[in-house]
This record gives sequence, structure tokens and C-alpha cells, in this order.
Amino acid sequence: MNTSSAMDQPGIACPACTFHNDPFMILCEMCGTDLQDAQSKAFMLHRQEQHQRSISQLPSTIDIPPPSLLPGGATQQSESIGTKASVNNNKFLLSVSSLYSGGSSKSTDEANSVKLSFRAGGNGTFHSLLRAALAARAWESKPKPRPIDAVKGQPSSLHSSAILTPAIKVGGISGIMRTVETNKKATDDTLSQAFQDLQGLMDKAAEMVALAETISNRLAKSNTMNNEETATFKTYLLSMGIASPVTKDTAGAVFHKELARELVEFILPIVEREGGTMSLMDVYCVFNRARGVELISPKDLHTACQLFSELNLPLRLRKFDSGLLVIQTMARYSDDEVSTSITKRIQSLPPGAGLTAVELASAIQISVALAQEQLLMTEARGLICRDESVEGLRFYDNLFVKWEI
Amino acid sequence: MSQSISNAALGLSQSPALASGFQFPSIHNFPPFYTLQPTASTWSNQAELWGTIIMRYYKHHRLYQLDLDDTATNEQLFNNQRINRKLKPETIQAIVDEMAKKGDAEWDTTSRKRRAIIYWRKPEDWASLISSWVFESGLNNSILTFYEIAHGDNSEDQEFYNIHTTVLQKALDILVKRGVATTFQGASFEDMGVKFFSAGA
Repeated sequence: MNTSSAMDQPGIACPACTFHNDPFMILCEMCGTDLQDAQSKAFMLHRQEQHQRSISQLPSTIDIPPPSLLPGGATQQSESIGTKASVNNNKFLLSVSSLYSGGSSKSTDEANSVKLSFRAGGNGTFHSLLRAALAARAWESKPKPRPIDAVKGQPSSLHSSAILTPAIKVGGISGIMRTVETNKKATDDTLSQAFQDLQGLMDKAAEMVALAETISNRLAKSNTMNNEETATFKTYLLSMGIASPVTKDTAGAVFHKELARELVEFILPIVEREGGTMSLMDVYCVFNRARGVELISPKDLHTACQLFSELNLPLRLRKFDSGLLVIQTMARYSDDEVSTSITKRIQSLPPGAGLTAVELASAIQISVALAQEQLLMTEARGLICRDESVEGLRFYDNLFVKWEI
Repeated sequence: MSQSISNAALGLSQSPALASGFQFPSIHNFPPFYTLQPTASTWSNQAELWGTIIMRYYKHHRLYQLDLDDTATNEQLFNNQRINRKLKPETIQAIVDEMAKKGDAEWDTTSRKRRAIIYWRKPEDWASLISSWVFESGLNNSILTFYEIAHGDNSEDQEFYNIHTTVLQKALDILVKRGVATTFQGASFEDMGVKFFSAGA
């Protein structure tokens, strides 16, 4: 089959490394693979099959017409694609190999492996597209009768390749390289399977969030549970996740804008529950936890938060004089309200008692850094005053203004 | 005494009076009173309260000079052992700076802000007090030494008895300017003389 393609090509394409050899070469100049020996071909086929087994459904995805699966057709196809990409320089080489198993009559027509050689880059893009197509099981949505079921097709081909393997005799460096290659493939398979599980988990996340919402709604209706229990449970639900997090891959250039929108949508109820202000560190933790495995960097979060006002979102990023960054809801929690409530809190303390940032933080459930900032802001408004001592910084009602001497 | 009621309502306890009979206002027991307030408006209130307390204390004890190295006075005035708070020297300096702006105090320029005169009475008031005492005692038209004014037997019952020399000098300078008196140089400060002219001169 490769021989026929070799006739059309300037040389013999090595089945192992796709190097274009001189038509008179017996062994590949690059990897030493026998270019003509049938056994070697069988081995190569096996390797191709093992390597590219997941790509066996490719014809349907890139819409190569069924005749192209035949060796001659494949070559034509590769030529036509190459011509499209550039006139003299083939962008990539496509070869479709068949593995003939004697008994089954149906499988004789089937291509067991497809090999793509990228001569001028572009493999990354192709791979991600292919992965997406595989993940979406694109062939199932198409009414074409041609593609075989991957799961059904594989065991038989695996089996036949397993029989073939011992028959191959390749020694020397190719042999060693083959072993290395086989081990690598095994590792790759394990890894990709592991990530498939993760992918599956992420797919399930959407359902889980929907479920969480349902339960949450049901809880809101029935007051059979006591309040504290409900509150705790709701907290768990709230931090369960964001169904489909915005990523750099999906959003591209507008990533930060999309991220800002997603963040506001997610964090707004939490910020309101926290009293209208949350430090950026807290936001980062909560948000990333909800995003699951699609983590974002602190820089991305910061950039996204800076876009709040530009995008007219109901939150604002604010930098306190000390450098602490927080996000706040826009109108409802002004400095006036915060300082008034803090002053009231301090005035309601027993006579002569002060308030520390830690005490305030635990009393109104905010972070200590934020409590400190709010106290300093209130102090700067002249509503409270400070006492610095070895015991730390305490804030008192500003008696100086009221005192008459 | 409506103010003391409103102050008491602010919830600070009153310290017992000192042995000298001086009573600190209860704000003296307010812990933030001992921290330099970073907010400008709060600080100006605080400095004013301190200034008032310092002047009352100095008046009560007939003191004229505030010395950052005079631990005995400072321990009582600026250190509150009841609440374990103490003014830092820098804060005292800042308070005196504020007082100096209003003419309630004046740094001794040679002391590098270690010593200051507290004017619980303004130099003009001292001048009036001294001149009225001189005329009432019929000591005008005769030469008095500075010592006689500050420590003499005749002035023992006067408010300016034991007056600080710097304050006395200031007060007499004012009288000289008013044309009421003239000063004479002496061997030492206390030997310097002053002669008051007759009234109307």
C-alpha cells in the first residue's frame, strides 16, 4: 500500500518516521526501519495502530470521503490537502493503513490507523480540535453509517496486534527505541485515561450544581430543618462550583471581561452576605474553589476586578491606603454606613472598653485586614480614636470631641 | 457643673485627687489620651485637652518650666499608672508645639525642645499683676531688684512669688515697652534692677 503511494511521491515515505527516502533505499535513512520487509511493515502498522488508535475515526471528522480510506485514495487526499496548504511544500502527510485480519470480511475495508505527519507545524491546533471532536463524539451525531464504533472496534484490533507483536524481529537501536516508545505510550495512555476521568468529573459538575440548586430551593421551601443546619448546608452548596468556568481557551481575547462577569455573578451574593466587602485574597480562594480545576492566577483575578467599572458591574475593586485590595458592592455599603455602624458598636461597649481589629473581625465575620481598614477609615473620619500600647492597637469612641474641660 | 455630668456620662472613672489637692479630669484615665492621634481633627482636640490639663496642673503647683528630663513632675502628669499608659516624650513635644502656637508655651531655644515655659498666665497678665502690686505697695520710683520681686519678703503672698526668671524678664520687658518701668543691668540676673515710674508718667 505504501509502495503505491511511494510511486506518486518523490521517494519512499518511511512508515515509522515518515521520512522521505530515496526510492532505492531498503532501510529508512532516518530510523533504520525496513522499508520493504512485510514483517517490518506489520510491526509498523501495529505501532501506528497502537499510537493512533484513538484517531481511527478521523475520516468522519475531517470528512474524507470513504474511498479515500483505500491506500490510493489516501495518497490522493494527502496530496490535495497539501496542495491547499502550499504548492510545493506539503503541510502534512496523511497515510491510512489497513490491517487485514483474515476471518472477518467486514473489517477488510476498514482502515485501522491514520498517521499524520506535520511538516510545517500546526499539530497542536489539530490535536486540540481532534480531542474536542473525540470528546464530543462527533461521529455519533452524524448520520453517516461508515464509522465503526470505537469501543467495539478496538478490542479486536488490539487483540490482533497483540498476536502480531511477538513475530516482529527488530534489533539494535530500533529495538531499544521501540521498547522506550512502547513504555512511553503506556504511560501516555494511563495519563490520558486519568484525565478522562477528570474530564468526566467536570462534565458531571454541571449536573451536580443543578442538583445543588434544586436541593437549595427545596430547603428554602421547607423549614423542617433547624436554621443553623440549613445555613451550614447552604454554605456547602454555595461553594460547590461554577458549571462551566470561563477559560483563556474558550474566551480568548475577552477572557478577562468574561472572567469579570462570571466573578460578579458568582461572588455578588457572597459579598453581600459578608457585609458588602471582601478582601481580594478571600475572593481568590472562594472563586478558585468554585472553579474546580480551571484555576486562575491572582493576576487574572486582579485584572478582571479592575474591569468592574468599565463593564458597569455592581462591584468595585478598592485599594485601601495600606495597600489592601478589596471588592465592595457599589452603593449599598458606603463608608458612611460602615463608619456609623462601627462607631455605634464601639459606643455600645462597656465604658472605657475599646475594640481591636480582631474583635471586630470576629464580631461581624470579616477578615482581620478588612476590619483593620474599616477601623482606620472610621478613625480618619474623626469618629473614633486609637490607643497604642503593648497590648496592641485598640479603638475607642472619640471622647476628645465631646469632652468639655 | 453641667459639663462634669456630661463627661461622667461618657463612662470614665474619676481618679482620686493628688496629695497636692490637684484633681485630674477623668479624661486622664482614657487610654487613647496617651497615644498621638493620627487624625488631624482628633489630634487638635486631644492636644488642646492636654494643654488645658498641663496649664491647670502647672498653675495649681506654681510651676513654670516643663522639662522633659524632670521625671518627678512628668511621672505624675504624663504617666497614668492606673491604666498603665504614659505619654511618649515625642508626644509631649508635639503637645507643647501645639501650645506654643497658641502662645500658651514657649520652647527654651537653647534646650533643643527639652525645656519649655508654660504660660498658664500670659506675660501681659504677669506684667499687669506686677505693676499693680508695685503701685499698691508704694514701691514705685524706687529701684527693685529682680530678686526682690520674685523672692522678696514683700511679694511672698503674691501670685508671682517664685516666678521663673524667664517669665519675669518677659513681663518686665512688656512694662518697659509700655513706658511704665526701666531696667538696669546688674552683675547677675537677680541683681538686675527695675524702676517703676509714677503713675501717669
